[in-house]
Amino acid sequence: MIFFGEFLILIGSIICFLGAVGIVRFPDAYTKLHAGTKCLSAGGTLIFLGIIIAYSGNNLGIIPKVLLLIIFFYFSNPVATQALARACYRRRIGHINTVVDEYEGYIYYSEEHRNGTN
Amino acid sequence: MVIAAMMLLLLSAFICFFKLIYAPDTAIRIVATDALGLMLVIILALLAVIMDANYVFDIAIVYSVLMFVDILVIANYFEKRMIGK
Repeated sequence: MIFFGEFLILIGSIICFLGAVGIVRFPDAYTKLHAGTKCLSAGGTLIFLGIIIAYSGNNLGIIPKVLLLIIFFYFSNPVATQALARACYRRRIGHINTVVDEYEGYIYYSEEHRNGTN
Repeated sequence: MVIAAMMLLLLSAFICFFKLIYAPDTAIRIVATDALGLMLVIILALLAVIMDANYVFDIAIVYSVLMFVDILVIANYFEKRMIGK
C-alpha cells in the first residue's frame, strides 16, 4: 500500500514538472494558463491521494485535511483560471496562432466599458 | 520518494519564479504567479509529510485560500484598471 502511494506521489510530481515546462515553452498567455492550471490540478490531486494512501497509517488525522485540500483545489482552480482568462480577453491580450474566435462580439472590452460608464 | 518529489517540485517552483522575473508581459507574470502559488501549496503538503507534523496541512489550507482570493483580486484589478502593458 505504501508503495502504491509513493508511486502516485512520483507521477504527480512529474506531471507538475511538465506543467512548469509548459509554462516556459508555450507562446501565449492563454496556453500558459491552460498548462499551469490543468497540470497542477492533476498533479496536486495525485500527490494528495498518494499522501492519504501511503502516510495515513498511524495518524488518521491527516485524512480530512487532505480531502479538504483536494476539494478546495477542485473548487478554486477553475474559478481563478476563468477570471484570469476573462481579464486577459477583455484587456485584448493577443492570442497567437488562433484560427477562429467565436467569442468575439459577445463580450465587452475593458476600454469600452471604462469609456462608456465612467 | 517524498524527498525526490519535493526536489522536483522545488525545481518547478524555481522555473516558475524565473519565468515570473523574466516575463515579457504582465499577463504572463500573473499566470506564473498563479502556478507558483499552487506549487507552494503542494510543497507545503509534502513538507508536512516530511516533518511529520499535522499543523502544516492547516498552513497549506490557509495558503490555498489566500492564493485563491489573491488571484481573483489581481484578475479583477488587471481587468478594470489599466495596469501593465
